[in-house]
Amino acid sequence: MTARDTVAEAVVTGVGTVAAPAGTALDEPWFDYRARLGPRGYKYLPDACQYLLAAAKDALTRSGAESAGPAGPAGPAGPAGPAGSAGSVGSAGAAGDGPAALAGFAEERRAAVVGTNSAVAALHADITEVVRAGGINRLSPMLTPFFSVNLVASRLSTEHRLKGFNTTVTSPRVAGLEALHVAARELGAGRGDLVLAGVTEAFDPGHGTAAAEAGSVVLVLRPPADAVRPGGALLRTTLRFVPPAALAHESGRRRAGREVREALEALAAPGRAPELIRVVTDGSAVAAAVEAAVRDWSARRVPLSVEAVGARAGALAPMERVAHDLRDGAAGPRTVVAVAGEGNVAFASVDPYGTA
Amino acid sequence: MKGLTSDDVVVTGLGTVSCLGAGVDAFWAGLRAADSRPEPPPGLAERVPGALSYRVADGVTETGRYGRATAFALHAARQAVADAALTAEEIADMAVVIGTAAGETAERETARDGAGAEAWAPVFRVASAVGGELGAFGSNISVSNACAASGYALTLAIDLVRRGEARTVLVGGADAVATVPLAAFGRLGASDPVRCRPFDADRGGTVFGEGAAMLVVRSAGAAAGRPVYGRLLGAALSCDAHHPTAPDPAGDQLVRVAREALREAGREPGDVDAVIPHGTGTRQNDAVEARVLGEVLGERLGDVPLFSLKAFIGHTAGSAAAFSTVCAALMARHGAMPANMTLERQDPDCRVWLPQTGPTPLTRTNVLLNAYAFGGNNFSLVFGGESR
Repeated sequence: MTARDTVAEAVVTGVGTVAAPAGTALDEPWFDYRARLGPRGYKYLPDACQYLLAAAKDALTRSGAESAGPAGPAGPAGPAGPAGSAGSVGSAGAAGDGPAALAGFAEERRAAVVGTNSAVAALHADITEVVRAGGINRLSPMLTPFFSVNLVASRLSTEHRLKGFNTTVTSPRVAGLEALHVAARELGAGRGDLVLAGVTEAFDPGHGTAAAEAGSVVLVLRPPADAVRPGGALLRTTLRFVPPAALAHESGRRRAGREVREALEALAAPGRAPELIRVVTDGSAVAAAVEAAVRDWSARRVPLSVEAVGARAGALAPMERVAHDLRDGAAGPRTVVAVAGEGNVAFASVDPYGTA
Repeated sequence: MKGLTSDDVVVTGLGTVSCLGAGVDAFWAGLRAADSRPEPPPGLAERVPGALSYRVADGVTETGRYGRATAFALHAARQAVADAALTAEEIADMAVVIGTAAGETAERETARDGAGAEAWAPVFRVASAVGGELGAFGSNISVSNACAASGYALTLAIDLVRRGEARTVLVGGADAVATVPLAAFGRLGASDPVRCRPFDADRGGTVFGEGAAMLVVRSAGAAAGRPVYGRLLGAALSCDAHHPTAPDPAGDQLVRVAREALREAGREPGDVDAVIPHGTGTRQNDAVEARVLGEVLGERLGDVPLFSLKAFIGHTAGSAAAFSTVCAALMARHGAMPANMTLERQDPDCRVWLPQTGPTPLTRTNVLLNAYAFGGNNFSLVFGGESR
């Protein structure tokens, strides 16, 4: 049996975020789409869609991608064009707005992968309520199509002419990192040259005892063959799964620990052990097992930060940590691990000086 | 199976739950019988007047602590894993990639009556639940590209195998009828009041079905010596970037996605032996898809038989592409395409060949499959069948 190649790689050239100010009541209006997107064309979009569009615009503006795209018509791309002004993920570039930043890439080679758990949860609640109260004719024809969760990400394609592919992924609590992994995997498979990958969440009225999330993080990703430019980073991702029932048995616990340690080992490029690992947990038994395995692997190796953020009704929190690491000017690779009690475990490492 | 290369991704196991019953034998028998009809969904018809659906009969699956979509997925997954005769070690190493448009939306609708103090219940936990119940430690991915979700899942599964992330992937789709999608389609005027009748001149929209379709796909190396149904020869994705719900009437990205799938498969339009179209019964979709097939197949359009699967099981949303792939595999195994449901009057603008008597013998089974979704999310796949 050959070893699995579980790590996907991509180069980050930009990051954009939309975050609610601290202390904001997320079920109240807090985001001014006019200020971030413009006065027209965005009013009748769900909140999560507005957040996503704004984060993507931010990411593209901060990306140096406009000078690196393979010019020419649709089709398999050649090597990247000459590098121009180096973009920085930490500061806005001088390249103007999103479409300008994409200009060097054929529409059929641009794509998007977006993760979400709760982007349309509020809309679903509204639809259910309206139908119960008065029938389907009272549903808004503008908002109703967004009952289909992929329309949130698809609007990104309409906005930026991303015709390569547009994928929505939805695994509990890890969907943002999952989106990065799928995007990197599809770049590696040659299905695109530039992918906007990220997460968007909106207030979920059914968040129950979990904390609601609202906001978005978007990264601009290029194939791993691209050089990491100043201010950019090499992204490495991998996914694992810990069947919750497996933790009831010693053999399952051993397997779970081995999977986590192997994932961290695979993620760390030779000689590039992470300077920091943050584990975003949800208080579940799976999270406890993963956290223990991470501590075991990292003992005397890295300053481990375990963030027990508490149960969250979405997949935003881990991506906020990735965005922070990208903008923090870190000297070495940093890793974020996201865990869901359902069994999903996702790992992402960003390395400002990494090479594929 | 002869002539496999290291890039080949083969299908070794199948499972289905649909209005035709549980299991691929029931599925195939139901296609041959061609007597399925939609009914008003219990508990929903009063909220969405005129709603119809091709529903999975009560008692076919046990829901237990899961919602209906997850229960369908688990049932079909266990069938597929058993059909593929996977060992316990192979299951533990297996990746899981499942497409679902709505996940457990129906259960959320019910839970709202008592929302508040309960723990958050993720809507999209179908793939997680299947991976958890089967004990699969491999990558576990939930894809939610609406009616093309399992097509996107299939493409990801191919890439996971080819890039070495997994040697065995359980891939498929699952969805259950729920108020939100039914109401939305009703509001958008996209529901047919009679039945799902793609390419019929009098079609008035689609009719939802429900269920799950699962496949075990493996690298050629992992499947060595095992019986296979065929190969996932090539798949492609595209996005219209045009309109939230309507296909781009120009069809450019639909043509491109089919041609890219054929290119990846190493096949020419002349190699296509059959087509399982997206064919939903909505006026725009079927008209555009017929034109697209004409552009892709050229003068062979009238010679390539189409199998209009949704006329039998309804539009199964996120599981539709997986159902089409299972159907292609069964056509390969049986060397024939069942007769299509009888059309009252085929739309003269949809000049495709829908054999309505039969079955139609197939000596080769290079099957082109399409799945399109809201948001302009498109998928095509070329399945290369083998006698099992």
